[in-house]
Amino acid sequence: MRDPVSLATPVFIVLVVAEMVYARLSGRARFEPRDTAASLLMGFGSVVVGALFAFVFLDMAAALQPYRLAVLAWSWPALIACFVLDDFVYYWWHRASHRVRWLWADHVNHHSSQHYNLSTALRQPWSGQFTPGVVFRAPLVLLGFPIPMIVFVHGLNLVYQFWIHTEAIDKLPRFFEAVMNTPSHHRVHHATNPAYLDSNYAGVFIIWDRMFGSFVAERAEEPPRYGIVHNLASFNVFKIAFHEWLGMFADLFRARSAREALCYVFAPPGWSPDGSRDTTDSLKAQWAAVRGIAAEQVRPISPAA
Amino acid sequence: MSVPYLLFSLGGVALLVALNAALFGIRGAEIAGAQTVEAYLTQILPAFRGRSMSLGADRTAALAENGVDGALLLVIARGDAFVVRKLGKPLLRAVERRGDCLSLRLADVTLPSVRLALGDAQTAAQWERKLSGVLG
Repeated sequence: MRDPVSLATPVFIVLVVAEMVYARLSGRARFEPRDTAASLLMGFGSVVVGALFAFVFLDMAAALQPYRLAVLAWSWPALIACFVLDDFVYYWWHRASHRVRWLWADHVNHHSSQHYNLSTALRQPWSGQFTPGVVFRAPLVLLGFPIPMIVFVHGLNLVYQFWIHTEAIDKLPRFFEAVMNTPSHHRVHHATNPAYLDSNYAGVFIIWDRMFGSFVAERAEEPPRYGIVHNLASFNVFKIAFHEWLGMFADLFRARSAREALCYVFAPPGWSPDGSRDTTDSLKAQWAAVRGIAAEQVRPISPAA
Repeated sequence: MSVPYLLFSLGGVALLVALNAALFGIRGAEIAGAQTVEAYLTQILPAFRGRSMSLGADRTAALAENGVDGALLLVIARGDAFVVRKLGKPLLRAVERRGDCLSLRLADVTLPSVRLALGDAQTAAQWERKLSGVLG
């Protein structure tokens, strides 16, 4: 079975070109050549690394298969169930990737552009195989879904997420915004505004964020500022790919106790023993204190919104 | 994954970047002026009031002091965006001045060093003093 991402790549390219032309004519999106080059080269590298290390998931899945609870055959109901459950699993992997530095060391690369356009969707990390991220998909194997089906629906999930990386599309009809991840929801996810940090982790269905209290709606009076809290001062793809790993290992090297070492790896990004660095929680607290508002207003969690 | 496939993909990347450059141009990173820095810092920081600010002669970097908390900030132009670093321990490793030129060494893999020509030696000396203060 062909990988959906490979099949969709020509469409991705056509859409990037179309968005560039639209952005030039309308001014509704920004493209910067060096940033675009970095995003596309990260995508290229990710495909190469993904092909080289595909065995990590496949070997894990094969090792788990004897312990599966059922044997599910290929069928439409199984395919749909697998797609929905894979998206549920994606939500938790994504949420963990923003709250655990080991996972963030990899995922930060996707957020490292200060632009938000379709090329940003292709800015994919190179080091996922060196994180425990693959473990999140183990329950799908244990439930009995065929391994090729799990790989296939995961590819479909990634293909869906491509088109939501754009400023060219405003809000969509209410019913769609209520259920599906959209450009508006995902702009919030990529924003560094304190009100938007750590929200909208959904892949395909935004309902997971609404259910688990991480949904934040985009507000016209708070335009998103894209990137990461400490934006990178380089377009060098190797620095983009490995900067957080280097930072994490430097911290580990300096750790003065086992607890510190564990926190440098498993605590949220920005954790430090003396609290001198910024975490998303401390940033929200700073903004709340200075602006004289309640912390929950900085992070308006509104599952019903 | 074959070598022709990889070369074809790289060619595609080059064409897309060329199209981007053709449509939007390639501009050198530049800070328009002190007001731009102030407006940007006001937007991204919880509280900012510019106490002092100096723009490098090549307009690629600026130093700013936040009157609210005394923080010293480095603003760098990268592409069409800005990058900000709060200069303090352990990020700032060393400060050196030669005439009107300040050299900063940073513990930052994407920004290991910065040189700012500040126009006059007195201004550079003032910033050197402030930055040396945070180094301890």
